Amino acid sequence: MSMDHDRDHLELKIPPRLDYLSTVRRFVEDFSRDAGFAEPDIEKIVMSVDEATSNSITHNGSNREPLRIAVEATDSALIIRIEDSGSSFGTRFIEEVELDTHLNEMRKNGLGLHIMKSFMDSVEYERTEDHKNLVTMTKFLRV
Amino acid sequence: MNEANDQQMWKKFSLSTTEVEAGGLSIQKVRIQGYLDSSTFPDLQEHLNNLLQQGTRYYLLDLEDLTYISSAGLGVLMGILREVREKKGDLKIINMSEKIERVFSLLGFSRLMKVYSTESEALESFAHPQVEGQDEVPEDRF
Repeated sequence: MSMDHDRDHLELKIPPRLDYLSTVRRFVEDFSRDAGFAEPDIEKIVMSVDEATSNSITHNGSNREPLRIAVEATDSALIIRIEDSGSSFGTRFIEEVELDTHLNEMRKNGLGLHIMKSFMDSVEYERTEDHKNLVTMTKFLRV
Repeated sequence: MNEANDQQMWKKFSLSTTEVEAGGLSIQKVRIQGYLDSSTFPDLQEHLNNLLQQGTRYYLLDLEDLTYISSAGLGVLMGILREVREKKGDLKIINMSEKIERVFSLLGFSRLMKVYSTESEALESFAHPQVEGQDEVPEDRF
């Protein structure tokens, strides 16, 4: 695990293991609070990052490359980038999740994406030129 | 430090189970402590599945010491709820913190799982299921 710090930008690298999720949550929670966010927005940010990181680790397969979680605070927003070297997510981030259907059918899976899209102001995914998955989430600071 | 010890160091989840009785029904009261995320949910899932296989149909989840829940944890609860209701049983929750209550409310889980302020209220509802004992979980707590 390693961290780089440059003004309002911090980066965390973790092994692709689920038992590091709590570390990621604490990291994002502290940074969000320092960036001026308050509850319950902090909770929303932490949950969203947890879901995205968990998704990256779970779908990382046998890839042992570390995940990179970068957080950046501007005057008006928090931008979080989660990058992994696993296989492509395909269309998973485009699929809409109908919460009512999910609840009515008591589906066990699929809530993570709904949480990210509900709790953050924007969620974007791209497959980078160097074959990495990059999820970028933004939360605007409410004055 | 080997990998097994390393994993154990970061894992902060535990649960305990006691049997309680209400209205002639045998109820498993499960107290969950710590966080319920993608790394810890398998433990809860295994425990609840074992109880289910032993014939348990009534569950009372005490969430007083639950500090965090992710979609993985919610998925376990939803899965068990579905299975016990198929067997004409039920699952109820007590002592939910404000933080967890907000998550439940925003994601609509309050509609599925009854939440009670006290154990006595929850047990009363098991014993007399026609009595409405659910506290209203306010919408828009976020």
